[in-house]
Amino acid sequence: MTDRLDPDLLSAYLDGALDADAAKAVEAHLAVHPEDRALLEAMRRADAALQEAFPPSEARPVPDGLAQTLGLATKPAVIPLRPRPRLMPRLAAGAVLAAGLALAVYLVPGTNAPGPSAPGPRHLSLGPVAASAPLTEALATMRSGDRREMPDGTALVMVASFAVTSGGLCREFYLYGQTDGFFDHALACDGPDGWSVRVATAERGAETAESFQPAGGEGDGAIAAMLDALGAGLMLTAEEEAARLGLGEG
Amino acid sequence: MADRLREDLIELLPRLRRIGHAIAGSAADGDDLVQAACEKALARADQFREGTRLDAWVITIMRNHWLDHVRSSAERRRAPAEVAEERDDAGLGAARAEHRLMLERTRQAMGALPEEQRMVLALVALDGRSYRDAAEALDIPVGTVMSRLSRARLALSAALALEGERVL
Repeated sequence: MTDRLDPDLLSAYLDGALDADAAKAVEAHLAVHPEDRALLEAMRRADAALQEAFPPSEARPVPDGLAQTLGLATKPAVIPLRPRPRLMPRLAAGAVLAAGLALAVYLVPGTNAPGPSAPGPRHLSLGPVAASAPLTEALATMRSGDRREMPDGTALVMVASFAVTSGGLCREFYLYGQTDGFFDHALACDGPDGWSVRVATAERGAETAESFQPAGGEGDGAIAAMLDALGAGLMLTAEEEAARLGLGEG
Repeated sequence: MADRLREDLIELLPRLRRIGHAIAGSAADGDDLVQAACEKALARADQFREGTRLDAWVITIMRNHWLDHVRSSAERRRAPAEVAEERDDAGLGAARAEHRLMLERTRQAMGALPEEQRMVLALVALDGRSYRDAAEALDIPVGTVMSRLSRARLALSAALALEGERVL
């Protein structure tokens, strides 16, 4: 492990922060040191991952408090609303508590809805899912991360599975309406009488072939609060989930 | 003065929020941090010297506010980091799930960095600040920016296993 370059230099090279001579020296070194080339590449990829993990903030609506501080509330939409990626697993405990209010609002779609920006679910209704419904089969068999075209023209993306204290299983998923620009962000749980949709919120967003970027985020709070109320544990791993669903390896 | 400052802050807002997200670990905590910093900046508008860098000044306020409140937040961030360890090799098949997991691990690896490394990384690697700008905002020498950056990148690469089997 001798003759390795000072990582500070590699890092500065990555940022274009070296003068021309120093940059040339680094390049000469890299030409004959594949291990440092690999390290540089790893640093580059770390930066790329960072860019993606903390995407440009324009994607998120400005919270009311911040908007008020800056006097944004009275101005026309300075900050555009665009889809944002969302973060799993469950929100921090404080956020879950704070989300209790959101739960009360969104569990009763159509009432209390604060205007047209937060419509009720478009593709789902709360309550039991018929045993013969395609959704039942999807909930019982789809792995998280999988996507399926449903017979009614919607597209279902399974997000995560959670074991709850009743012994049941809850599954978080998105249901895309393909054309109307809205999707449902929902949680369904199984029980003695089959699957039941426990939370469903409509959010505006688009699914693209390349990336999956739901918008809004009301569902995050409502689903986290419901999971909390049900005593859900951590998101199941792929293996745990496959075992719960009775799926084989692979 | 305050009105002018407010407008300038609005212009900076997208950058501040992204930096806040990266420093605080969650978008909501980041926005809270940005709000607190903006409130402080507006309350101290008379302290801002015309002609100096507003972004550096506000980021300094953000940094100080964050460090003042860091203890309570740090605990919250540690819990999910352990989750990431458990799921390290979950071997999720679907590319989308893997991608999500990667983003989640990146956030958690970022959260596990020492505060000062995370801030340098947020300013340079995320916000694209020069070393000198970052040094000014964080009130540290440029050499320190450089070494913290490289340590942060090494730690992040290692946490994300981006370099395969590298042994230091």
